[in-house]
Amino acid sequence: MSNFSVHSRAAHSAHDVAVHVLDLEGELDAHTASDLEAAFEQCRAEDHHRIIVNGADLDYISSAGLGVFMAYVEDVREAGGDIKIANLKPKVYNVFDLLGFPMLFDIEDTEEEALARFEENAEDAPEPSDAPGENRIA
Amino acid sequence: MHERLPQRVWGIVFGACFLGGLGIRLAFGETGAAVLMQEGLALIGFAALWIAVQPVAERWSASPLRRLGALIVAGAGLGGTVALVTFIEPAGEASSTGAVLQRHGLVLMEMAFVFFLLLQLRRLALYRRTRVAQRNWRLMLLLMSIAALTAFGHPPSRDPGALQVLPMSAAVALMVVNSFRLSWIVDLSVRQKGAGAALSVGVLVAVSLSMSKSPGSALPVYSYALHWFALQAGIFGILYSLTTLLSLVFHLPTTGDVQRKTDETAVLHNLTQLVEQTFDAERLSKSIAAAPVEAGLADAAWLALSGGASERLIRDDATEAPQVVAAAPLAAAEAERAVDLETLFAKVRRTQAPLVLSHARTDRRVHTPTPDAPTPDAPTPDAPASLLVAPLVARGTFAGALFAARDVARGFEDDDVSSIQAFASQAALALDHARLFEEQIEKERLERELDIARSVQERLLPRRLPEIDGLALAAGSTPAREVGGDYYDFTRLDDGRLAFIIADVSGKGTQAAFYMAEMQGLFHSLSRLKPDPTAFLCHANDALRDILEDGTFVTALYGLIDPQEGTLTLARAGHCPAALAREGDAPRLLRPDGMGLGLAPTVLFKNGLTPERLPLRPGDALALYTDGLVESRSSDTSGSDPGGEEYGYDRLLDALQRHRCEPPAALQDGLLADLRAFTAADAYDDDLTLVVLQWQGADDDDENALRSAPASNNAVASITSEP
Repeated sequence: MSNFSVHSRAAHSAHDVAVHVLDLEGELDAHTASDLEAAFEQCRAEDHHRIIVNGADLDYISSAGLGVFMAYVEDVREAGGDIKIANLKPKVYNVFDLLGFPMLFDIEDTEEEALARFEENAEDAPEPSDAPGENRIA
Repeated sequence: MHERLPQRVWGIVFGACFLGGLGIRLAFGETGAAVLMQEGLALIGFAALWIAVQPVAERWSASPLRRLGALIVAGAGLGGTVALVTFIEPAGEASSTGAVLQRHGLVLMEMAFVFFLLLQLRRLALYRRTRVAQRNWRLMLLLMSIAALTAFGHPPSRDPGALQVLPMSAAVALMVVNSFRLSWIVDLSVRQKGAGAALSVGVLVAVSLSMSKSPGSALPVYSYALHWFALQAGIFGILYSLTTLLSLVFHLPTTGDVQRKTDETAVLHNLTQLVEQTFDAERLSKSIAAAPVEAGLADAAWLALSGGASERLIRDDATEAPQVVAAAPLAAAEAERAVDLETLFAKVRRTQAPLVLSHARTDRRVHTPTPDAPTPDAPTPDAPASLLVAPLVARGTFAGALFAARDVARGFEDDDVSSIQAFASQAALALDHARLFEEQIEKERLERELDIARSVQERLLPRRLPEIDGLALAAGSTPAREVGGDYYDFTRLDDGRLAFIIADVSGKGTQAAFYMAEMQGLFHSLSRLKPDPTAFLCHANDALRDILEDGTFVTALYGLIDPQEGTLTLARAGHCPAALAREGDAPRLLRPDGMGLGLAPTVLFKNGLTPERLPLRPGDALALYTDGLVESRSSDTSGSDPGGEEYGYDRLLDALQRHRCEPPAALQDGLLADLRAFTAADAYDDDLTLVVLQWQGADDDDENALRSAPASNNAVASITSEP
């Protein structure tokens, strides 16, 4: 019924920083947001606080889907981790961008870049990033 | 026949015959003709008496045991009287007046006992009347009468001939049949059965005594036919009390079990009814888990459902891990540890048949209660010794399983299993009903919530638009099936400027309506105090940070139009960009930077906010909208996007360009018509709000052209304002 799924896997950066990757696939809206919530919950339960959300196969995101990121990012950061977003399709990136997410999250072109950001300093406050398509509309 | 004649007539007939016979006997003595005549009269008389006493006997309602007791008393009374009479006055010369009178008196008593015996046995044998039973009874009486009649006129010394043996054997055969009509025994309690056995012995003795050829018996002398009838009645009495006795004696040891079984069935039946009347999921689960224990069928029982969530009793997706939702008498957590829930659950889900573990303690799937010693060969006494897992299947869907445990091995007999399985099936249906009921309630609650949200939304939106020189407005919003929180509003400030807002509250239903009301309050209070876009939005962010739930936010476009300067200042807080069409230019999106309200602390929010200010030119058409518009999808799903292509920004800009010179209402209609032509659907998936502003300039020349087209009707309830 649902055309959305989250797969979670472990990843390691070059300097062996353990990171958890969530691969999103399909459409993330009010009906499927709970699946992503569950994935974040599981990360929290398993003490994975460095999370990369890979949106390579994410086709659509609604405001409810964006809300999930907001609901979990504070807790993750308080635990010393971060949620970084990578590999968004331009259309999906545009939705993140419209809402001002690049101000709040590191949004990278590739998973490797996101991994590299974790290496820089896990405690760094996220900075606005130069991400693709920022000026696609304006 | 006898129903039509009153009893009294039959009584008189009997009296006449009996006394007539007596008279004849006294008058004519032992002559053959007199004896025959007297016997004929006696037979007619007693037949009449039988008919006369039947209604009387019917009227006496007593328990079967009291009837047996009455028979003993009557038999003992008769025997005692006969013995007494014959002891005091031994029958001498048969034809002496005294002997005749004595004989007649004894005959009367003996026949009274015979009739009483038959009438009582009749009530017992026909305790649960069936057509066959009634027919057998009547046939037996008929054959007894025929057999008796064959003895008519015979002296007592003669042996019965073949003519007599034949109907009598038939009568005895029917007596045997009728002797097994013992349904009244079923209703007796254990104690009553004991008493019944004793009473039947008493009846046996009393009838046997009354039948024994005591020298005092007057019947053979009086009428050989009647004697034979009485004899047969006695035989039946003995047969009936014998079968009663044997049946009671053999039933007595199993009576307790039968009683227990009956009780269990009754309890399960009651619980089934109870379960069917309960719609509260939690209570229902508790009743279901408690039922096998209350019925005495199990020492412990628990109910496990897929996913376990009690708010959603039966999930469509039944692959989730089982969870114990109710247990008796142990706690749900204990029950979860008691057995390997998942394996057993998966097993009955696959087979959809009850699973019985007769020696559960040696089964790997049954845990010992201590997780530290999970070896199956070291069970603690608390582990279930036998286990029954009954699947709950309603309308072909597996919903869960009812676990029943006993403290003894082989604790479940076949009929226990079928009882519990039958109950589990009922329980599954009840759970299914409860789920449907809950869904209905939930649906109605949502409907109500949506109604509230809709009316709130309607009331919060402006009913009239401000009139500003040089500016034409049109605005409309249509809520989708699920109400979101689209909001737009305008305020004319004291200095003549117009403040406007369009906002989209994330969330649905009453929550969205609440946030929307908050936005309206903010707009009306703040826009007058802090009309500057940055100041307004920062204050709004502050206020919303406090009240918005985690994960919810508000996007907004806020702007000011200064009609004197002819300028627009626009600030965007995460909202869809505004669309601008202008003469001589390509249409474009106005997308000043700014993040959604409530997402970040105000410091960060302010940092990201960059309002845009631009001079307006006459003929400028500005469209403000919510994401429902650009995200509307085509119902044509043949394209690359399986969900249907989105309307998108480019189509909006094109349409705006095409319709930009029309009056605002027509412009709004044109945009919506273009959208509908694209989506080819009547209903919108999301709320859809569209606000159109047209700047005509302080001293515009083409005012008349803009006013010419009348507003047409469209799906979006809209209001317009033209200068």
